[in-house]
Amino acid sequence: MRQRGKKFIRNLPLQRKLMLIIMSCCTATLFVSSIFFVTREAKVLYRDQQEYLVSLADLIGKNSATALVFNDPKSVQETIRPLTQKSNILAVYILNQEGRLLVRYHAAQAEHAALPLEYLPGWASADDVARAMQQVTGEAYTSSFLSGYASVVQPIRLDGEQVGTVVIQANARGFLHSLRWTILVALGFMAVTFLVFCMFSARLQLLISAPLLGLLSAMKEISAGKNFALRVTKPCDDEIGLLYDGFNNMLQEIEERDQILTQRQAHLQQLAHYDPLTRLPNRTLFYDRLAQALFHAERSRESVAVIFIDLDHFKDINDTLGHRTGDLLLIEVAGRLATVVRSCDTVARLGGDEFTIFCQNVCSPENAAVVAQKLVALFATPFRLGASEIRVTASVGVTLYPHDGRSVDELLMNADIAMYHAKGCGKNVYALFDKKMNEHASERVTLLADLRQAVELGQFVLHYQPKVDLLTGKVTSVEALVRWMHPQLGMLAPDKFIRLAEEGGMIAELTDWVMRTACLQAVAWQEANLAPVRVAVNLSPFHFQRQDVKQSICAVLGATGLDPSLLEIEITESALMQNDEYTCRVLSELRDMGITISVDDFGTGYSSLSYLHRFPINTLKIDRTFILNMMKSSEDQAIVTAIIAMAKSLKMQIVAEGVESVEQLETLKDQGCHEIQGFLVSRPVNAERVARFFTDEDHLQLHTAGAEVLEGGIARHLVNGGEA
Amino acid sequence: MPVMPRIWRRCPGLLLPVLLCLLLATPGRLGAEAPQEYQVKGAMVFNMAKYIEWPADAFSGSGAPLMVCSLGRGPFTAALEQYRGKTVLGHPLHVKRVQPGEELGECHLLVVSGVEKRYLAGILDQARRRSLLTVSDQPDFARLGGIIGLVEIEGRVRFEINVRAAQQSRFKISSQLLKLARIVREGD
Repeated sequence: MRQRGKKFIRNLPLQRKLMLIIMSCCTATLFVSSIFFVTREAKVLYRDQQEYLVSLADLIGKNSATALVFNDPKSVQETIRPLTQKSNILAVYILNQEGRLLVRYHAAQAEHAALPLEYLPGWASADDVARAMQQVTGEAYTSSFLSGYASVVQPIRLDGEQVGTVVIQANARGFLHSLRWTILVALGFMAVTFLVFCMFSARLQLLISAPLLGLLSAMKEISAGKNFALRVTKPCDDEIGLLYDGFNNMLQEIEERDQILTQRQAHLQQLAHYDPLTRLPNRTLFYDRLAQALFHAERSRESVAVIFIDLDHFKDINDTLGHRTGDLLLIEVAGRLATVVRSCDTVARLGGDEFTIFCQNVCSPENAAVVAQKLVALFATPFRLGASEIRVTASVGVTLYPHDGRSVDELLMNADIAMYHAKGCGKNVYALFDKKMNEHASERVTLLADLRQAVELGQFVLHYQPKVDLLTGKVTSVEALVRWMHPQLGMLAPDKFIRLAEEGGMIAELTDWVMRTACLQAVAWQEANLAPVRVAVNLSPFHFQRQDVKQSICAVLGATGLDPSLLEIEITESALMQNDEYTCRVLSELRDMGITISVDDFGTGYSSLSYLHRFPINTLKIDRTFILNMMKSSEDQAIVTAIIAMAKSLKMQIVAEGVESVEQLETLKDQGCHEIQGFLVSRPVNAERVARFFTDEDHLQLHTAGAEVLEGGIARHLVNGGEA
Repeated sequence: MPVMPRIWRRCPGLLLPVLLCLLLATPGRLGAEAPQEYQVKGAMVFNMAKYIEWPADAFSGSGAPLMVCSLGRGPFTAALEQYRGKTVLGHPLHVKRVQPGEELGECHLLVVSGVEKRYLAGILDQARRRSLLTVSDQPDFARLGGIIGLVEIEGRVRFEINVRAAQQSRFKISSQLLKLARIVREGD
């Protein structure tokens, strides 16, 4: 019960609670003061009544003393007669010295409580009287309130001696009436004051409850509206004011966190849907938008062009100029792409150097071709990245919805195929998708499967092309070149399948096979007591990414027992520059073993010449295009001259590739080139035939005589199927 | 009583007589009791003195004794003796028995009782000269020239006052007393 009362009070609304507290304090105070007032008033009234009765008793006592002394009841009776006139006197008794009743008077008036002395007989003994008197004095205080009469017992004295006692009993009606009145007044006062307090406390509690309720309503408003930018104005500087401050601070905090959260969400949204580098839509968003565009196009029977763009040789740029430059280039490319398309089109970066675009409402394939042409043309001007200028081209593949495919995946795949086709067509061009391309692609898939089988079965053969020293005319080394003996297609040159092997992840096995076979052949030549000729093996850049180049070379050398000084490694410029620390370390180790290191196709890559000396390179092989154009272009001639001069100063051997004519031979000789390789000497031939060159003869002497015309002609014929 | 005097233990027969003797030997009222009537009269005399104002020269000082002289036979003197030593308006009461013809010089109040009527005139005359308050239960005492006479009316003792005699002897009697008294004149 008490618990429930407590709980009830605790759950009262704040205003009620405050009012209850104020009211209970006020009421308690009021109650106590009223009781005090009433008690005091009762005391005063009682004293007045008693004083009046005592004065009467004194008067009677004085007047009756003599008669009492001389035992004259009649005279005593006389003295009390005036009292009988008083209406409030109930009874008067006079006791003599012995304590016996001498005279008594009873008012003949209405009801009153039984008086102790009333029914005593006149002859009652002193003891009986004394007992009754005891009752009178005992009830002196209480009788006024309980029995409705007041008593006063007063001794009668004469000359210092008590000669009798007077007892007056009067009804206390007047006293009680006054008392009742006093209580009524007190109750009335209490009631009025209570009402006043009620009104007053209703206003007073607002001092505390109003600010709190204000805060509460603000809190409700904020939590309902989730508007954390709202603030409350504090109404006072007390603890409630502090509460308001705290509330505002909390709101501030929440608002800030909210903002951060929103920003983060936006950022996440950005991350999820946009490419952080170029800020173009990413694959997810592109797929989504394209799907919507297709949906829309289907309803309105429109066409959508999906374009796939891939930068040519981007990997080389990344490898040679660093990823930072590659990233900057991608940003620039993204910026240029965005300038071509309409606002309804979407440009996206799928990853790496692959960009996609879709254009809505394309009327015909010709329109799509115009867009594609524009895109290709974007790359005509070089990109300026800081101080350097980079020339990069792109291959573009185009598909059309609904003609080339109906789903997002189909369209993108076909665009990819078209793009590959464009790349295959010599790069920096665009290609519209054609169903035949798909067939070509499937051919490629078949070829890949064949290749995989070929690697397992070793359906390859090595051809060798000799390098000849320009001074002595002797063969210094032979370059091993792989041929695929395809069961249906016949012998295939490396440019038909090396890229496929790289993409298919079989290049390491293939290289391994090539190296093993070449080394075995070199060992065989040695065992046949032929002159010591190095055998050169091309290493794919992919091979260098596997980071086990040295292990595999050592394994082959160990297995075949070839002298490392008879092995030569040829790597391309881009392979040299990628991961250059590792490359440099591996090459140094290989060179320390005695292996010769050559850089293949030098001059086509982006290698910084200043880095060149850091690598442990024995030989530079000048790319065939320079040699080919050397006789026609003075610029190319200048490049060749510069390369030769530089290589000499770096103490490297120089090999000119693709030498086909005697003029070239003569020029190179004049420039101070060390060796040549090309059809002028020999096209790649099998091991048996190349062994014929392993003599002390001057193989160049033969050609200077006039055979060059025939040989050169053959060479020109075979240029496409020749060296890698 | 754990430690009883040795003598009681030796002779317990002695205890009772000794206790009885002690009980009887307690001091009672000395002399014979005055009859009921004189008890009342004595009290009246004692109380009456409180309502009387003696002439200014009657007392030598405020604490001077009030001499009550009792003349004549009878138990009146004995009744008065009870009040010896009590004070009346500040004066201690002395009681003295006097013989007829004896000098009454130091008396203030003369109670006459049981005196033959023929001596009465002489006594009154002497009292008048010495300004004595005379009280007596002799019949017609006030009429014969006494100041206060005690009479029996309807079985109760009342009193008569000869106001003239009182005035002659320069007494002032309280009206309270006079109210209760029967006023008489000489020769009535």
